[in-house]
Amino acid sequence: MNEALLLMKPELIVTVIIFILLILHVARENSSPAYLLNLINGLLFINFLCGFFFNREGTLFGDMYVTNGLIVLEKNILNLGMLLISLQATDWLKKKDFIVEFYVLLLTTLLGMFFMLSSNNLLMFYLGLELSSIPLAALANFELEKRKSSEAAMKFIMSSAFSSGLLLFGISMLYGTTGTLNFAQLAMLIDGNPLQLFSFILLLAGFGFKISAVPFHLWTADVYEGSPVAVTSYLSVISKGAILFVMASVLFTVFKPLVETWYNMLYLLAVLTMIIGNLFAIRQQNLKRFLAFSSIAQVGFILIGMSGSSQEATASVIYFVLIYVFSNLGAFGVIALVSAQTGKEEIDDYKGFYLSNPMLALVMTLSLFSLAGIPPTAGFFGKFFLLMAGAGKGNFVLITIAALNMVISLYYYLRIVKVMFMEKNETPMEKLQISLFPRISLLTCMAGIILIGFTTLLYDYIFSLSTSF
Amino acid sequence: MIAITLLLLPVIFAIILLLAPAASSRRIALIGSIISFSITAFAYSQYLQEDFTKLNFDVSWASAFGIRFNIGMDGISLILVLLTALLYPVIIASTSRTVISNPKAFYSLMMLMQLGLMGVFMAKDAFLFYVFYELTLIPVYFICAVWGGDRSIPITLKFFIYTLAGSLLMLIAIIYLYFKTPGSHTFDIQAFYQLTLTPVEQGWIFWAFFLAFAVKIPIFPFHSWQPDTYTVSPMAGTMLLAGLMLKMGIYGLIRFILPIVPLGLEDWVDFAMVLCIIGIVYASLIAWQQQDLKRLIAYSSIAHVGLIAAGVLAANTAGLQGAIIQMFNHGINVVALFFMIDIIENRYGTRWMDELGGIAGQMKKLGVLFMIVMLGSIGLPLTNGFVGEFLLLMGMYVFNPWAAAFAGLTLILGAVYMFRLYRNVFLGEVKDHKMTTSDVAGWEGFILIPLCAIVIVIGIFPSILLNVSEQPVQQLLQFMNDHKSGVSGL
Amino acid sequence: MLTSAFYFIAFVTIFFAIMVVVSKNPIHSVLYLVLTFFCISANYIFMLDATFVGMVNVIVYAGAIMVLFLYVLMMMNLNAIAEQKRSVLFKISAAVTGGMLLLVLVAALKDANLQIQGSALEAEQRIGSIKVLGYVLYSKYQLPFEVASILFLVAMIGAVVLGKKDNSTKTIGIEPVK
Repeated sequence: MNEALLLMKPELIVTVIIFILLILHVARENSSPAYLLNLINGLLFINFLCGFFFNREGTLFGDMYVTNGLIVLEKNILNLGMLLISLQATDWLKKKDFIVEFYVLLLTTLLGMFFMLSSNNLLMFYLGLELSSIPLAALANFELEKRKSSEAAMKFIMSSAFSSGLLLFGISMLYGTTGTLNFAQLAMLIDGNPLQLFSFILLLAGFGFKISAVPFHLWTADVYEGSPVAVTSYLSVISKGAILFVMASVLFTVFKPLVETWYNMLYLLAVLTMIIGNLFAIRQQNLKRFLAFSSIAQVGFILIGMSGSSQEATASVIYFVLIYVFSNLGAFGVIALVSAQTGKEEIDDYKGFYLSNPMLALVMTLSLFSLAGIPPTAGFFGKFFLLMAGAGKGNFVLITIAALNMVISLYYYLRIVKVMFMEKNETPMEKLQISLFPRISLLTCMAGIILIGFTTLLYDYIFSLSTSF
Repeated sequence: MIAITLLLLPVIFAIILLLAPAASSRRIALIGSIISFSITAFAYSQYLQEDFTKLNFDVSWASAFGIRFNIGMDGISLILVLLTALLYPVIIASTSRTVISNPKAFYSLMMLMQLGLMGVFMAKDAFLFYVFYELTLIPVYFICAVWGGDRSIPITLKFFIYTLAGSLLMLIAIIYLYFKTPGSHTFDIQAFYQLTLTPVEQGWIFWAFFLAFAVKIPIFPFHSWQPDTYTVSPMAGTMLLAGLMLKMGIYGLIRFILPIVPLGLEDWVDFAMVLCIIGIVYASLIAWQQQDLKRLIAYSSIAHVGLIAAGVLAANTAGLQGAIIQMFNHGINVVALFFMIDIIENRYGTRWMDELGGIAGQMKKLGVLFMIVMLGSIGLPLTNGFVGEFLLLMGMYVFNPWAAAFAGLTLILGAVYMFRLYRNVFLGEVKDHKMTTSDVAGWEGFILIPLCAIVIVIGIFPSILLNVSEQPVQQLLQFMNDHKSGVSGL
Repeated sequence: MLTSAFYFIAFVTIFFAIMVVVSKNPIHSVLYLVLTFFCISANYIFMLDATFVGMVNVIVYAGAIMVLFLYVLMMMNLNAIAEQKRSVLFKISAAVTGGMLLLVLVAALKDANLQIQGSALEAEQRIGSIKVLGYVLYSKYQLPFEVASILFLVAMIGAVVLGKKDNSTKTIGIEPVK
């Protein structure tokens, strides 16, 4: 019994936090926002710490639920990202009425992701996925008075429902041909007959929607732009990260027999995603839209690593997502601060940002360098390992395309840096207050960006946890 | 131990700079660079005593991909590390004439740059080489863009994108080579030397490397970023670029192209050589037309490094030895020239040739010092430039007499445009009589006189450098020839 | 007998489905959709012996969801004229895309290994009855069942949040923090 509890520890802790919040909301209706935020961030920090202790491996509920070192690590990465986003959102949440509801919704999505990561069965996978995306629609609409926010929520729920439909269609066909939903059994029964291929394409399209790979990306920019910054960063980092983790494990376990087929599909998706994401990112004027397209391009790179289908591939994808958490949240942290205090989100608003807020400009620059993959920031190592994993297949055309795309991406990331450091602004932004929580969060991101690259021990650790293909 | 100290020192000083008050930034940076220089001098003495143990450092870094933090110095590296360590105090001292906004950031970036340069010259692991190669880009970008003149932003952006695009090709080539290494793969450059690649592969890899380095060197037609960048950058940035950063490209040619893809080189060397020679003549002719002193030196620099690159591509002992010693000489000469142009600009408020004249009458010491460095730069016998250019031309003559003949034009044209500069700026009538000017100040002389001394000493005793690089050059050529016969034996 | 019954129901289902698309009046469309759902439920109940799924399908889809749908349509007062005119090109491209999907699906089904399909159906055939379903739901599928319940709870919370009015709306995004 004890063992079973420890196995499900991450899910149980998150559930407990959700219940604490619900009860608290009923029992003490008039808690001050500051008190609530302190409490919640404290709980999230405990949640993050607990991720490192008493970890077990095993299965539960008749093979429905599985956990091992790698899955625990993935959950820890998500916990970390959750904590960082929560710390960054304090300024914005202080002015909101529904703090508890916000966190209940956010934590349930996290719970859904945990179940999704631990799923060993397509049914559990699907339920986890839904649990992790439906509350996000409500969260995207959290700026209740803004039309754009409602539009974002609407677009999100539509695309999410559509992709879920595709996934379900694919899953049902897979079930029809094999008679099972269990990952291990599916891997044995899949023989690549046309119906299974068809269902695989549907599943891949479903995944494509969730990770916003081109050509399934059309919802991304509008949703990112309309949602509150905290939700946008959650969507682009945590949601995407979790689904990438699951996608890697589903492709590498369930669809292992079809590896020849899906290699070419991933190849095509990766190339399209990188190129389109990059080309659109160049033209953006809104910083959140800009990061939306840049995150699309980043997904293209991750797909390259994933196409490697090896132990390196798993490790490099997880490693990159970890680095992506730090670099993207570094950038979003600055945007969150600026947006909460001044309401400005356009790139032009950041002209001369360096003069009034040198530290924030530096944080943003490092994050963007990391996203662009310039050594010695962690982002470079992440991308390098992805390329190495992809190059393991011997396809150097793909690697060359990726390198060319890194040059394009460099251009637009440097554009932001240029705007912040070198352009004059008649109405410069005032000096912003950085309160304690966002400060901690930004410092953590910076430490991550600088240190993770140099100490590649972490990669070795992830590599040792990953199973060979 | 020495090697890792040389890498750690800039980092430590960068951190000290960020913490220390801004007023003392320059002094701290100067102290740091002088300590680096003395350690390098010690390394040089160790090398002469053939005690190599302290010059190497090797630990595992990312074991999953067999990446090692493997640094060390052979003769070629040592000369370039020495050049870096020698020029750094000069470059930092040269900034004292101008007021620098936000000095903490400026000097920290300078230190970071030093780390990158040292790392490139010492790396024995291809991945490490790449990381350091790119690392130099960030500081120099910020130095040139933030502290540069008008239009510096778009120009440095072009520079950044150009060089990064080039080096990404190199990254692909390195990854390719990595997967070619036998057993559990490795990024060790020595292991790359052992590979036997087919001529087709060699051709591709040659181009990937060549483009990366050609942008950095820069070889015609990839040079278009260079004169603009030199012109708009602050003087320290220009010195860094011309004196040190170009050398990374040539060093890369020597380290990667010759021993790894000799057949690729053989197939394409004529083409590459023609590019180099076009660059030499073209840049010399343009330098002839320049009115802006800084731009003139920038173009002359393209001509000189074009010759060095051509010598490397000739791939024989004379050419390589000449290239290595000339890299050192070019670093010294070009930094000294920029330093003196900075003095002129500082005293007269302009660096346009037609606004200047008769400086030698007003600043006698400067006139003499400039003459010495200029003679070194155009390669007069008994100056450092002569040794280098003579060896280079000899190497090219062995390769192809016609190539040597055309490349030899650089000597004549170099003399023409440099003497034109000297005649217009230092001789003739004084253009602006109202200007009261002081001659070379004490601390400026303290920097310039040693540089001029080096120009002459190396001209007379080139063996102090040639001996150091002799053995590694022979080894490199040995590798190359073994490799060639190995592949053709297949 | 069973086969001909299947063909009959299938035919009726497809007929109603086509009518949903073809009808000019949205209210008619919805009503046809209700009929389509009824036919699908009939398929569940008579062909597959899945009484529970069939009943739930009638109650939830044909009943609750469609009535809601109808209600919304009536509130919005849509009628035949309000329908947007699509260009011919749009119609053709939609037809081509749909046709291609159908083609691929049919081709995929043609070559599918139906033996596995049959055995899969056989193994889980009894799942349709309520007793077995309840048993399976609380043993083998306990975890998914619980997760689904959380999903409903959160959906409810989300709906409530969206429905509530935010009292602090005046200050957001305009004024800096005090």
